[in-house]
Amino acid sequence: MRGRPLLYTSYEADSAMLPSASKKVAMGVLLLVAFTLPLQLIPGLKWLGSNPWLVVLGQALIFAIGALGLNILTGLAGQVSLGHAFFMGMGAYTAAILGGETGRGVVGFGLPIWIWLPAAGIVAALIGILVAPTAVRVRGLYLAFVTIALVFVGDHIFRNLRIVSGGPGVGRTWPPLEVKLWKEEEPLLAVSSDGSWFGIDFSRQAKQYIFLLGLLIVFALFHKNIARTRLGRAFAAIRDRDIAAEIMGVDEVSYKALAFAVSSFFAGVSGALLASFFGSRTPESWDLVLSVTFIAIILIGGAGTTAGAILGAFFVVMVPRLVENFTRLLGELTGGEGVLAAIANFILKSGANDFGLIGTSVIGPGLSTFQVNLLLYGLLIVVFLIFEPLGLYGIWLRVRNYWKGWPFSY
Amino acid sequence: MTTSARRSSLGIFSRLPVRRIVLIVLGVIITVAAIAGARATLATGQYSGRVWQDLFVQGLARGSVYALIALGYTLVYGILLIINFAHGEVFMAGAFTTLFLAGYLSSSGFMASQPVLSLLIMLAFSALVSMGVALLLERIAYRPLRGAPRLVPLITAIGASLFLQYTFRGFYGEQVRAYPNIPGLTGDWNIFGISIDRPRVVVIGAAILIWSSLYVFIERTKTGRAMRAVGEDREIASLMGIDVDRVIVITFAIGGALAGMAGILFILLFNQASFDMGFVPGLKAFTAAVLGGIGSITGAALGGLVLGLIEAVGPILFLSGAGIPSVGQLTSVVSFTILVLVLIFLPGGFLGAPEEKRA
Repeated sequence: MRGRPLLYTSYEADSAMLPSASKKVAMGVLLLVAFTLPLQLIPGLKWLGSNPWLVVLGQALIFAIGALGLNILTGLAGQVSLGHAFFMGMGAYTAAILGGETGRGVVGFGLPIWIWLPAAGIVAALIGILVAPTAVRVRGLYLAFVTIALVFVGDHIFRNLRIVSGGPGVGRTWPPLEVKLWKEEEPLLAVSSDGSWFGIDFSRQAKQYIFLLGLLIVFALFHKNIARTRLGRAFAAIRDRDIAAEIMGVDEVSYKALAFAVSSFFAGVSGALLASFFGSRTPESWDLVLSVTFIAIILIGGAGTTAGAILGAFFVVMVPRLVENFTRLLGELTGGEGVLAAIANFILKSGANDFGLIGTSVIGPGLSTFQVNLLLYGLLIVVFLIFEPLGLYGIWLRVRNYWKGWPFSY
Repeated sequence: MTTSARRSSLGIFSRLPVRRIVLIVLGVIITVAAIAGARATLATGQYSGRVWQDLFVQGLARGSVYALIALGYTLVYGILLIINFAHGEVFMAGAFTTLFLAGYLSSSGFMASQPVLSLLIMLAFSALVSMGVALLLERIAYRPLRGAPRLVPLITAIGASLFLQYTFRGFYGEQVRAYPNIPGLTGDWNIFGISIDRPRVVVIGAAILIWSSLYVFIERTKTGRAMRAVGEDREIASLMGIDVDRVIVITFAIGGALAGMAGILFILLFNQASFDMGFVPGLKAFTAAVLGGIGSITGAALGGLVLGLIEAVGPILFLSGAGIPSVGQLTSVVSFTILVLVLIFLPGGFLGAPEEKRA
């Protein structure tokens, strides 16, 4: 069977996690590179292992966990939900109550991470189960709207429950990413401070990156196993035609409840990690924009695939950096002359009366980098759905198939 | 053995009529809570008859704006069976762009000398801008995806909506801009012995006029008949010699124009415009369309008015008596609760056919 990686002689081989030897090798190399990134060993990738980039990557890892969750619900089970931010917020505030500190008008029990992180997921999952019956009654487009209602309800709750959230515009302190046995002073595994692990000195950012990478791997395995087993097939059946699925014995109510529960579990964990990672989140940050960002992630990455959701998360989190560089480039161009300078001038908004789209300063007229991202997400969603419905993953498949058949790729 | 055990544990919901019981119990709880809240509020007696009357008219005025936007949703849904999620942005585009025209009219003194004419010009201009945006949307975001599953256009629409919002924000800034006051539209008018804010009278009157001309257009003209035919069955309609693409374009154009006019009426009520002004009214109009029965033109009008009334009166009537803080902020929550309840208990709305079980 050598040289025929797509010839499977057993069902197990067909549904294996990494069905061919080359995939196993590629995954091994990828993991090795990912874990050694902070050591800055590889010549071309040293910049990616620097501390500012590790923060970006850390955020991408957290977003990837949340995106995997939404991917289960939307990509696998076909239920479009715009309420992802609500579940993330629920998880984050559960974590804050259990793991945060009391003070400045907010409560917190200061419990260790092995309690608050799973609890964040579980509370979100329970709320997900409560919401799920609506998805049986309300379908497709309507479900998307109903889940928007969740975001608005959540917004009101988070703003007004000051004892938990700290109040609008203020926020609260969040539990740090530290592995402790109980409330002792010295953490078992110090993630959020500089120090040495296994005899190697790591910065705080590097430690957080490695910790989050480990978590992402756990969740990605979880996701992959859901996707390739009985549960994933049931979800896909419901996605493709729910009545047919029910006739074949897939109980719609239970499986939709399960999809919501698992998806919300991922969302809760991701929300808790996000708040803990950045250490500051106001009640307003769990809004519709966050939900749409996650929709953008799975659509840009490729709905329904594990790799797609992760790719999408990295892409969407990295875009801001590209926009920043692009804006800087434009700023340099406006100084010159000719067509390029004119175009740059058209796009950039340097003062209140200057015509343009992107602002040069953080506060002031024009769009900030964050807002340009939203504009780009909107554009990318449309472009990807029209030209490449499988997302980045689809592009990767096409590139791979081209080289697989090379020089006879037609 | 193990598989049958697993199946029974998963199938437990479907064998017991749990779903129906839960729904009924939920319905009873909500009704009781609403009645109790209303009683508690009325018992306090802190709101006079004048306040209720004011809220009622305010609700009608807001409701007629929602009704006009809802018509755009309903027309498109009736023909393409998709929900134009970016319709709120179409509404915003018209109203926001007309701001500049209004500023010019106001500063040149034309508005002071010809208030009625300038209001008509603003309505026409806003309708044109919104129509243009709606047509672009149709061409770029919907037509390439016409054969795709129905959820795909919804998601492109979310994308398009973000894109439009932030393009406007980028070009025109994020601050809320005040509209110039139209002279002659301040103060009250006395109608049937009730004094009503003048803008509200204009808004309600204009909405009735626009709605009835649309109704006549759909029911009496050849194009209207073609639209209904396409809504009935697109393929058969094309066999009968109807240019389906043209009809769809016309539908988007009409929906856009209605949204643009609704934008100006909205501004008469609130006197301000901002880049995100379309989002919440868009969602509420969608709620109104669903409430009335999506796909039905009369339903959209009915749903808009009912939603406007509930939104104006509801929070105070049902919630303030129950001691819930800051009821004023809850209008969005109230209208969404209504959307959820309607979808759960009355999926077809007041006048629509119940939706088929497909996604």
